[in-house]
Amino acid sequence: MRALIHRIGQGFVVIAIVATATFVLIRLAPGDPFAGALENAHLTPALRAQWRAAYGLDGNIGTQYVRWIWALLHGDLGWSVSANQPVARVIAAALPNTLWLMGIALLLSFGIGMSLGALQAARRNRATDHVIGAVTLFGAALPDFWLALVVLLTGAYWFRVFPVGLASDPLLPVAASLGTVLRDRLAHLALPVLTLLILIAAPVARQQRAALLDRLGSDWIRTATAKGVGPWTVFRRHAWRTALGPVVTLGGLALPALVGGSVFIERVFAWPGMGALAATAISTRDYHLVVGCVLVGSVMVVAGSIVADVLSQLLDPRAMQIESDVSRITS
Amino acid sequence: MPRLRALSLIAVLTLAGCSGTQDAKQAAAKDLTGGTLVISTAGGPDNLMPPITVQNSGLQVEDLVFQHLATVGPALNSIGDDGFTPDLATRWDWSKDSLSIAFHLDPDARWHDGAHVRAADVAFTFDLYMDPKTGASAAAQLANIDSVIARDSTTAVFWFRKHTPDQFFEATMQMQILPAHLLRSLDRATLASAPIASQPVGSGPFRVVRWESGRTIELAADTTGGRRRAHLDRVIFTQSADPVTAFTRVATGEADLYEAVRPDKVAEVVKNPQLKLIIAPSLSYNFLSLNQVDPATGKPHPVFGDRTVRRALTMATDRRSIVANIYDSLAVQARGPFTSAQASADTTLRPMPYSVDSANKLLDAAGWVRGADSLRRKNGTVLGFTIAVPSSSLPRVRASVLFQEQFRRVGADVKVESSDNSAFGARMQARNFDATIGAWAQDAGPANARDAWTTAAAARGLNNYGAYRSSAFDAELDSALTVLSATESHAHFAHAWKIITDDAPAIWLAEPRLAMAINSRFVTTGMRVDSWWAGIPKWYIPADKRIARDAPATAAR
Amino acid sequence: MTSIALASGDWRVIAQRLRTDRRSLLAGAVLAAMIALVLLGPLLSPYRPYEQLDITHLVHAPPSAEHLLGTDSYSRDVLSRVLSGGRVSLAVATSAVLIEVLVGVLWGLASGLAGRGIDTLMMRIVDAGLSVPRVLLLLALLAAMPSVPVWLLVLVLGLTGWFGTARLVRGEVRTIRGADYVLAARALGATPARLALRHLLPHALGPVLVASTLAVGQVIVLEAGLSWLGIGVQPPQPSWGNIIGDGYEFIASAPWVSLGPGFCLVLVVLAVSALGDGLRDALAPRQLPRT
Repeated sequence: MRALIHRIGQGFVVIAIVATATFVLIRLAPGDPFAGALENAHLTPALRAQWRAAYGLDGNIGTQYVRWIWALLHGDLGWSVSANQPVARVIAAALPNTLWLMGIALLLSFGIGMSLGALQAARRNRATDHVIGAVTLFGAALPDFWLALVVLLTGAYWFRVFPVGLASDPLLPVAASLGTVLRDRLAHLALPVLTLLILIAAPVARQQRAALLDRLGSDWIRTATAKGVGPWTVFRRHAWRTALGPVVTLGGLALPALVGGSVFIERVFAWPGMGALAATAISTRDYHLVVGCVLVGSVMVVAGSIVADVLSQLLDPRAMQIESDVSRITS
Repeated sequence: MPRLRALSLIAVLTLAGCSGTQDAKQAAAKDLTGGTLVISTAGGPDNLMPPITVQNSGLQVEDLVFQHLATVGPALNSIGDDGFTPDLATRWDWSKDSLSIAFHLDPDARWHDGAHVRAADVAFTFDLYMDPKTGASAAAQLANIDSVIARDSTTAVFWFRKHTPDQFFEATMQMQILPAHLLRSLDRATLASAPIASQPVGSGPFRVVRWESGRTIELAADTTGGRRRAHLDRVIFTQSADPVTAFTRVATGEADLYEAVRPDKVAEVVKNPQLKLIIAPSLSYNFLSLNQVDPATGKPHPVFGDRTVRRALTMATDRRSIVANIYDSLAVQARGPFTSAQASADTTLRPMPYSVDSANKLLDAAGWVRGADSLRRKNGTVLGFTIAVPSSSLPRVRASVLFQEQFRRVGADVKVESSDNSAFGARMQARNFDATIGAWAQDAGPANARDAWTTAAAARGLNNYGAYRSSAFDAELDSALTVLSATESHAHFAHAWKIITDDAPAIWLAEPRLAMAINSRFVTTGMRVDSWWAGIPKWYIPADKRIARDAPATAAR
Repeated sequence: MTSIALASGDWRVIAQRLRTDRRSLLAGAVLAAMIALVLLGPLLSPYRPYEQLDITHLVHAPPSAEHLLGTDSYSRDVLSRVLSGGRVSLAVATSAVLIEVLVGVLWGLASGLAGRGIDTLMMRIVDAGLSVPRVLLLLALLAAMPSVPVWLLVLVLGLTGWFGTARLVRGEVRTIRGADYVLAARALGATPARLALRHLLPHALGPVLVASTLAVGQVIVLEAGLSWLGIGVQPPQPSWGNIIGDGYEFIASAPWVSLGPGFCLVLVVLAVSALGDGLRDALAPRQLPRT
């Protein structure tokens, strides 16, 4: 319990580092939130100064930081200049879309990835193993935006099965039945989820295969095998459970993606989520929105990783190391 | 409406009126009412507050939600009031000395909240536009108006400082009339963030039902007031960040209109029986701007300070081919800082010829001599410069890469520097560039060039980024804008264009045309060269062509 | 997967294992062939990669005898660009990963050996880095640069990718620094630097090597994404990423522009990933039972 409190305290340190670094970093970029459209020469320096002051962006970076922290302590994330709304409201509109998309995609990816990995481990070095291995490797090697467009054109244009982009039909009547709304949401989800599935299931499968093989080689399983327990039974009863640990840790590492979304996928599918939002915020120098996105993201990531840690310790107390190809999901 | 708008994202803007011009009277029939127009866009506005809106996506919505006193006619005449049609004002009287105009407002006109539109609103609007705190981009164009006074509740009188050919145009087209009762109490320094900037209340044919920032703007036909209602029930703007996605939504029929079809998609639109293609001239032109001031020192630019070198570099480039490569048939080569559709155009002006030989000779003569590495040098300095472009604009990036290769062939070492919009904007403001691909989307008025190329506009914070200075050009342009005879004016314009193109402050590139894909169930009419969307209130869908989403609007979410 | 203690002689065993693994051999061969191809590229390529052959008549020419991979929207020969772009892509990826490894290993070693307070701070910085999606970090960093020459891109890519490595190395160090032989070395008076280099680093290197092989693949893919957003390798210099980005708009009408470099990219990423897998298997200390 004390360890947990300690861990939470450290989480706050992480969040503080992230927020502060972002706060400084985004202000290093040339331009300001009032550049408007390209080359908007009508904005005189005096007008810019007026707007900076009006939106609390005047003064040196230290003053701005203190002001921002003070507002934050009062529960105010600031004003988004690009959306002309409070940052909190902008994020509240985008976050559910990302959680919805990434949640389903990650769930499916982990389910399918783990099953594939287990199948590979069970059929180690046979044709099944090699075929699945090659296919999953292939998925992980494709550039995200390119795959997204190919999936979009195939599923929505060449074969007109699914809608082209957006998270929901903008014309859906307010009185639509729950069934209609749900069907609409699922139809819009299908293609981006498929894209993410191709990209994410691969590293999960590889992880799972390696973890299982590692466990299958451990002494106590060899003992069990020597006692005459069949390999498949060993696999089902023991190895599977102990190999869950690394996958849970992997899930913890996938958290930034769960909350942060994917800039590339969201852009191609016109999915109004956190990734696209943060990218726009950066390019429009919407300072408060950038910091707000990153802050909300890191809070959820930190909280999530604490949960993942606790879970994986329950599953397998050994310290886990994760290879870095999972950063594919986290990028 | 600001006079000059820098093109964002895609180098296509405004459009000519022409296409399936069905009879408007027939359209008045009742069964033409109804239907939904879904417009797919690749960008969206950050506010809907007319004085401070610069993005085209915002102007489109505002033109449907707000009204001008009168609107320019399809011929875009800006001298006097010929061709202007009544809008919020039903009629107007000129004073004898032409120094004042009295506008008589439609007594039945109402704001979308039900309040009457009054002359006091007009006076308030002028005051708001002119207040430096507001930061209205059109303020400079309104400078000739001395004051606006509400004579009675429906008569607004404009007093002018000088009698000019375009005074009526500026008085009517630069401002959209705003509701004083909703805006009076607002802090003008933060208009953009006022709730009404995202839920605007206007007097135009459509009112804003909802706006989800970055996603959807839904407009519904307004039925208050005495004005004839628009035929369509709804106009919905849906936003996708990626242009390929935005176009594909129209190709599959999920949306009805995309305004910036790329050349390689034109054939696809033509083949698609559900779509029609509308190609029209526009009022925008683009160019490679050559900065005459060295950004590092503030002295004349080591390369572009020399007129001969600028001319040589112009001749070194095969502009016709570059235009064909980027736009295929969707643009013509630009002749100078104007477009052929404008009254001030000189369509006999010949662009400088493409001749690598002449370019090489001129560069040799100017002292830039080729070395063994085939690069030119003068006093040990390499003939080199950078082209700054915004990474989000595909046509601009393309143009810069095409220019770069052609400059290489005459011995110039050119680098392309692309940066995101904000960083690019900051560079422009600071005049921190050697060369850049510039683009101006002009309004229908005659004075656009004054804001972009005169000595007065060369000051920092104004639009003459390359700091071109020529008193001869300034004088000709000034004469062109002040003489009241159309022929004389045209002659002065022609002289001005000759002077500036000979001086080559920029390499004139293209006049892009607008290629729109629109679902063929729409009967479109009333498109203007400066705003294709101006006719939307008159568009309709024949009853037999309606589809599910055209059904009487059950209130959308 | 698990931390593996390597005695100094083990590298030979690992090399031996790799040599007998068919998959690793194949991957190695593919990789060697690709590297040879892009190194010899300028000699092989029929045109200069930035040369615009005929911008009016030779735009998007489909693959033919003259242009094996067709031409792009600027009428440049795609094959020549792929060959020359491969150099850039591979060079960018390997140098960025080298930076990742260098920074990550040093940070991890320092953190692992440091006292509790400093270790905690250093690891919280790593956590902070891991909690922000890398693409956003890159977007923000690159936005702050007035122009992005290739070396800067490499640096930025490297400096946003080391957090995982640091965590990995630190974990390894923590696990083995209590091992008998390390304690023995310490008792014999080994300096911390010597301890780190002679005793800890070699053991942490295995997993790092596996991870960095895979990272090469990711960086190639990531650079492609950045190029698509217009902030990767700047034109006219080709990279596999920006060639695919150039072809993105024309995926339906001129698929050859992005398919050629896409194929190379996938092949290389596949090869390095397979090599990484092989390496991991070779590093696994225990013989696997037959199933």
